[in-house]
Amino acid sequence: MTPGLLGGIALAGALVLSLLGLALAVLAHTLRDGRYLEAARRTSLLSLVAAATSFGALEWAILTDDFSVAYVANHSASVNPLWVKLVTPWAALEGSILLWALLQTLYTWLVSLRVGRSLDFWRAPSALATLFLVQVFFFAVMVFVAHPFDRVPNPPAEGLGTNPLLQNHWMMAVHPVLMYLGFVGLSVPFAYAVAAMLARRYQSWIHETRWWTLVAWGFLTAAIFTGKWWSYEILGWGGYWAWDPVENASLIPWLLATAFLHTAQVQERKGLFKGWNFAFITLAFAATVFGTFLTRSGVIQSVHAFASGPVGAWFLAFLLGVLALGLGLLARVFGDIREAGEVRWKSREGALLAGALFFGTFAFVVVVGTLWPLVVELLSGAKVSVGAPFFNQVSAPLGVFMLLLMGIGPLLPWRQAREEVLKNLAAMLTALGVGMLIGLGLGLSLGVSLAIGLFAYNLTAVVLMVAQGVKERSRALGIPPSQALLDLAASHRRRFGSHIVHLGVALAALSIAFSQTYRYTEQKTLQIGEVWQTRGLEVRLLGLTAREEANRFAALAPIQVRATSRDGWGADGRYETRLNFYPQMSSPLATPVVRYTLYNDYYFVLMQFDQERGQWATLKIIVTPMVLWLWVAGALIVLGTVYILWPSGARLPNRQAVPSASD
Amino acid sequence: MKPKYLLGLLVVGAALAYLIFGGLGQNLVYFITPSEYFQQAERYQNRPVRLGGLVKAGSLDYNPKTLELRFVVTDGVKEIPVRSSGATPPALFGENRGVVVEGRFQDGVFVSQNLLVKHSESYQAPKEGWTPEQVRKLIEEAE
Repeated sequence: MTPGLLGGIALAGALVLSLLGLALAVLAHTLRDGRYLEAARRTSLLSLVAAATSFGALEWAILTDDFSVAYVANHSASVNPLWVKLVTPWAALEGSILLWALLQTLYTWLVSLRVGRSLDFWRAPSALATLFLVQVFFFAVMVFVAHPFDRVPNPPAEGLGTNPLLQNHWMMAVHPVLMYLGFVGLSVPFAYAVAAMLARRYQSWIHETRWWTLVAWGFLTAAIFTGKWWSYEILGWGGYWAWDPVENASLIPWLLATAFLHTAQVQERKGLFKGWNFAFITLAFAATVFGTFLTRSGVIQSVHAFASGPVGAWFLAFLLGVLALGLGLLARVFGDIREAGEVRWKSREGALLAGALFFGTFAFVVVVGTLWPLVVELLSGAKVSVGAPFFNQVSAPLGVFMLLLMGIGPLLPWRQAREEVLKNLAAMLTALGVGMLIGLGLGLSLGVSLAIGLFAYNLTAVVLMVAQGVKERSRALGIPPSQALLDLAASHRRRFGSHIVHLGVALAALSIAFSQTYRYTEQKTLQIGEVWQTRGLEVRLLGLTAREEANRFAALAPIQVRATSRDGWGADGRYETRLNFYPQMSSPLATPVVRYTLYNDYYFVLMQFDQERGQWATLKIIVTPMVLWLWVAGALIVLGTVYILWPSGARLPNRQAVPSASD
Repeated sequence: MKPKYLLGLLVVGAALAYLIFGGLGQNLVYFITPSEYFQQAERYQNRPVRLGGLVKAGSLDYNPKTLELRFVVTDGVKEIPVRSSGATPPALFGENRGVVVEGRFQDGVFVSQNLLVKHSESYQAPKEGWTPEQVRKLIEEAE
């Protein structure tokens, strides 16, 4: 048996099993027969096994350099290092869809384990049916239009190699998997929502769905931050976010899932916003499909590219199907879930709704900006792109509004604001003002000073909330404040986790404001041995050498850097800037070296070198403040999410003993 | 709905529309080939443009002293001289290779601030006698 054959059979098997699972789940739903449900449950495990076999076969083909498989011939090479071979399955379209489908079967199986526990028999069949339907789509795409095991009639002796951008950094082993775990993870909340609407049980789904969404959201957040980091380390322009359609495709579902996480809290506690929750989660899942459609169909380069590949049409049809299913059901049940009362804006639920609406608006703006080139091309035939300035211009005011709301929202009590909120708000606004004044006093720009103020404002809010809870508890139980803090942190995971996440967001905003405002770029051609004095730095070009590596050829320009003033703090050291030449690429890849410090990042890029005599090299230096804190912020957000999700074991018995203002 | 809310909604909606559509109008970057430029040259003056084409063979000239990179972008029919100082590693340019440069026109020369790196896995050089449409397709696919 060859890997290609095994993979193909397993793939067809996975499609058949997904169809079978779908049929069984539909029967279980219509006949209300538990036996069909049990059979569907078992089918999910079989489809997971089939998908894993298929994926394993692809790995097998890549590891054994089986170039009779077209995917391996086109996207791998025998000289690739082992780790590159291991990650090659998601280096191109067909393999990515296979990974996606594999993770989908994994999530379906995990959901099948919940049947009979949190997933009652009214909702389980339709939830499983929805997930099987998604599986059918992905396996059908592979079997019919993007087969990962297509054969090459005359296998070449060597493959074409993996996309060098992926080979150039190990992050590519991690980032796509996190992204798919997040994207695919959003299918579960969608399935729960569909099941809830079909069963007309509008409350019981929300608790566990919030949990699933948080899992997917955590992966998505990690994926977005690792993607930023990859682009920073690899692309050589010193930035981390370019509002590229591929980046937007990951941001849109993240924003919508964030909106859902906020309104879901209200439904969990107060039973409100059912309609919003169904809408947000449908849109979030649809956005993952939309993103894949955008990036995989080529439609963003040109509307005319859409017709060239069949994958785009499949994804568009699937996207419309998801939207029709989710929103159609919502329209049907809308009469049932209409809310009687009115929501006060100056309350916790009001702030949560406002926050969710903000995220929804932001998502809408990103969608409009991403799709606008298509609209213009359809209307006038002109090819345009929407520049990053548009997105920056729109997201700045939205970001300020969000940061303001993020501070005050969690301090507001449910139902109606009380007097003491004003005292807290006054303290926070003072912090905002003081932060801004300090920034302006240091001669920083207005925007950056505002960012400092907003960070102080949010920090104050979290400190106030934690301090009030601790004070009440330590007074009521007569225990020391440190003990009270530990107790509260252990018993109010959601609360404390969200504090960590919110602080991470505020820190990210601060880092973005600094790094976008104060970037310093300079370049110069140096002869070997020449010393270059630039802002706070002394750079000496030590030499110029070439190196042959297994899968590439590198030109190296080692430099010695010394700090000469405070502006160059922490930059001392010897660095090796390089250009990597890959045989499958017509031009080299600039590979920057980055020196991270607590304040400035020093980013050195080899731009060009004397290819004839090896006498000179052109170097670029980019000094950006506070970029490191963006990665810290990302880590904080993910940590906060893990903190909320971490299984808590036995609940503390006195959880409800002390009514606390902070909860 | 109370008139108070309706008014608030209108204000928020108007602000949003202003933010979006005002911003879109100003930040639209046209993507053109040299031939398209000469059809409507005045339309593309003094605004950011993305110019796509191929680096003409023999036109690439990098001055390591001034860091200035000059080359000619062609689509097989028309040509435009490009001057680039800085942002992109000149090593990434190659003759007969598809490029997309972002910048502005100044006195008949395209001054580029930025090269949009187009790394294609399956790049092929254009053949003799290709039409601009074919060249454009090549460039788009290289994106």
